[in-house]
Amino acid sequence: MSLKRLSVLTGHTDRVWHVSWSPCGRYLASCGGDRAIRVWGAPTLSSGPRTDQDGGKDDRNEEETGQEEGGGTWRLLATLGDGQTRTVRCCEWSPCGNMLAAVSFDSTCVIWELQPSRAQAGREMEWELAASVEGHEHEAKCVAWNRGGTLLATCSRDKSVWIWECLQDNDFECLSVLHGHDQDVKFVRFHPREDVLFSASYDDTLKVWEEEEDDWACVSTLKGHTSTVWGLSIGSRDDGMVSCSDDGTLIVWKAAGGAGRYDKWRQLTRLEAPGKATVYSVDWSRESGAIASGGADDAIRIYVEDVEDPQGWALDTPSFVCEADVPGAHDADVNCVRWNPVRPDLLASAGDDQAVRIWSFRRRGE
Amino acid sequence: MKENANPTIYAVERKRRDHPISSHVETNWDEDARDAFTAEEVFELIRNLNDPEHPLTLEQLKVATLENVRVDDSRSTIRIQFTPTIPHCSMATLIGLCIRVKLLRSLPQRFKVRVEVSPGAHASEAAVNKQLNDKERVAAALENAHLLGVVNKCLEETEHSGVDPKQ
Repeated sequence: MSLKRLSVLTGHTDRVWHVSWSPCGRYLASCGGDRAIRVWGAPTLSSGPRTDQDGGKDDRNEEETGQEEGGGTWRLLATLGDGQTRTVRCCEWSPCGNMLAAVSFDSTCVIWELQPSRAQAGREMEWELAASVEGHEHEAKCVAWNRGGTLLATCSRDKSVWIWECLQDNDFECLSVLHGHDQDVKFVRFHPREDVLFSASYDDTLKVWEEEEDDWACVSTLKGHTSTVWGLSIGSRDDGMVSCSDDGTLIVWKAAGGAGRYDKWRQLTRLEAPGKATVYSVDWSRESGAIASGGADDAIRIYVEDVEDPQGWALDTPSFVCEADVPGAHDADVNCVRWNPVRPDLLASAGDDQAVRIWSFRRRGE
Repeated sequence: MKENANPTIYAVERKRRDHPISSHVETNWDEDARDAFTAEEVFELIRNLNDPEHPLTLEQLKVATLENVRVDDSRSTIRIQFTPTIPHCSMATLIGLCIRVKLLRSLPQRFKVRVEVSPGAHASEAAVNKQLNDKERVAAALENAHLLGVVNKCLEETEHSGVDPKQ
């Protein structure tokens, strides 16, 4: 098995919907049905590197730390529990690492700000509620920062996507309200290198949005999935994207005009797991190129481009190999999978079993 | 006004089953020892759900029937089809939600439950099914206090039944 479980982070008292790594890769934020965000510190940060032989567990706060399985002790550094009144569906670190944006079924988006004085200690973190950004009529489902941390996008069951400009003093101004999807918008994500926004919807499509003459407009609608599109990720290739759906498949897309031109997309290949269970989350590592997916069959799968076929991407015929298939990765649905931005071998996952898990991935032969 | 003022009412079997679901205790300490669930047991959970419009159970209205409950215990999957009394029933989603919530509260987490209207039984079959099986929509709906109140009302009878096997 090339995907090894390192740690289990327990503490959430309801399903965990989402996880997000801090840009430095040392912290993980998780959120879910218990209406709280938890911020966890990686082992090397809080207690120094440990080996399997150490065996010594930190007995402090036993219930709310990660159990060791060779992954060291993760420590709960903060619980942000009073910002929103319903499920916190998604939380994302700002690119500067000092803010967390979180959206909730209570329709709000709140911004938490890390208080610097205590942060350096690497133990408890102090966060303050810096702003509440309101506009959606119904449950907000996802939030995304652009690469510079100057824009924020939120989406909702009200079918709209809102783009906010982050001004000084934690002021947020609505730049645009994007209508176009016929149903709930489930997921938004900016391109990692450009201010291009991607959205995924219950209407089975993906849309690409760009700024045109002072306003944002839909430049492309991607049809291919046959049911709700739950997520997407831009990969190690700037002209590539992967999406995941209730139809049980991942679709790999390529910008037909190459990187920088996002108005036409080609569907390259479809990755289908046995059983056709809903795929709730996908993440394409920019560092390693590996695609992780998790879904309603409780499994996590890792796909990589076939090294035997180096010309595949250029010829629009890439082939992907399933390098790891872990049934029972969680004891219930897997809602989110995220690669660490600094340690390309580390993967975090969130599940309906109230747990967050940390995994280590090694390619075969490594 | 009720959409279907005079629904057909069917006689139901009065007898309680010998093995109410509450006798199932799934233990964590021995993963091999898991209780197998049958379609009868799962039907027992939902037959006494109240119809949202009538003081009648889903079984009395033949909205839910044993034949439309499929349980594959080895794969931990359950598929339930229900039949609204009229094809334009605006209560269809609510009925499905009640079935889903009842099973959510009664069954071990390992079960993957699919709830849908019987093929051809509803004008908006695909839309109703999609909504009922979107767990994010279901989760959000259950955080709506008003809707949760309506669901709990439909579940009331079942909360009292099936607990005492000697009854």
